Amino acid sequence: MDDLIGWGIGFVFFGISYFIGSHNEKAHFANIVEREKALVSLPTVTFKQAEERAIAQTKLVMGNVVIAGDFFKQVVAQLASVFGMRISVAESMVDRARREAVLRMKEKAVGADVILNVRFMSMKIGEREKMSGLEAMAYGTAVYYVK
Amino acid sequence: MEITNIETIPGKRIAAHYGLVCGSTVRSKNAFKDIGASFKNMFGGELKSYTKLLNETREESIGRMVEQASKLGANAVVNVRFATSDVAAGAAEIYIYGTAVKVE
Repeated sequence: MDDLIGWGIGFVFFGISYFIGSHNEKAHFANIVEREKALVSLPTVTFKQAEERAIAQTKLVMGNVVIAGDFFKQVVAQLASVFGMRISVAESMVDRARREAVLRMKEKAVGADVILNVRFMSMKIGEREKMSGLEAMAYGTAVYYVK
Repeated sequence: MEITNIETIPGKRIAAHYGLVCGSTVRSKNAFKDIGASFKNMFGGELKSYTKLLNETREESIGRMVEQASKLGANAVVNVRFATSDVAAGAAEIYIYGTAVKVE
């Protein structure tokens, strides 16, 4: 009986976390797309060469975010890893984290003309076996040309 | 102090090199904030306290690197790299290193 209640609670949480988690993720993606459109005029590149123009200032900029996975994702990831399947729930999580990190970096470089040599770093947060969280970080050199 | 993650400071000439400078910080998580994080783990989303903690840790590491560079008489740090490592359960090290230079 106790086992049954335990399973029952597990299923209820599984359902709730699916609805709340996917709703949050959709809202976050909508927000990301909107901000990406607003910041599209600031290019981020992975090369190191600035244009041959007078430069007013250069600055190291970085942005980071920690995104947690939800209970639904954890269960799906565990099931998928039994059969060696593609874990699409994790893919959306890392995509969301990296894009958010780039946006935060861009938001710190207000008025810059280009961000050179953008690099990514990510780190796992929390316990090893669970998909509990991920930190994504982006950094680069913001260049301000003389206007 | 100018910091970049490319080999030069664009538009400026490097006059002198002072070698490698680095800054490292080891931080552990806050058990009280962790309770909030475990709730968040149910439904997903951003863990703001962790984002802030890691950001502060990085700023601190940069501060230590800059301090070391200014002691050497440098006015810029070029080719800065970031590294992290797990030192213990629930603790992370953030390590930042670069080359101290004098630009003009």
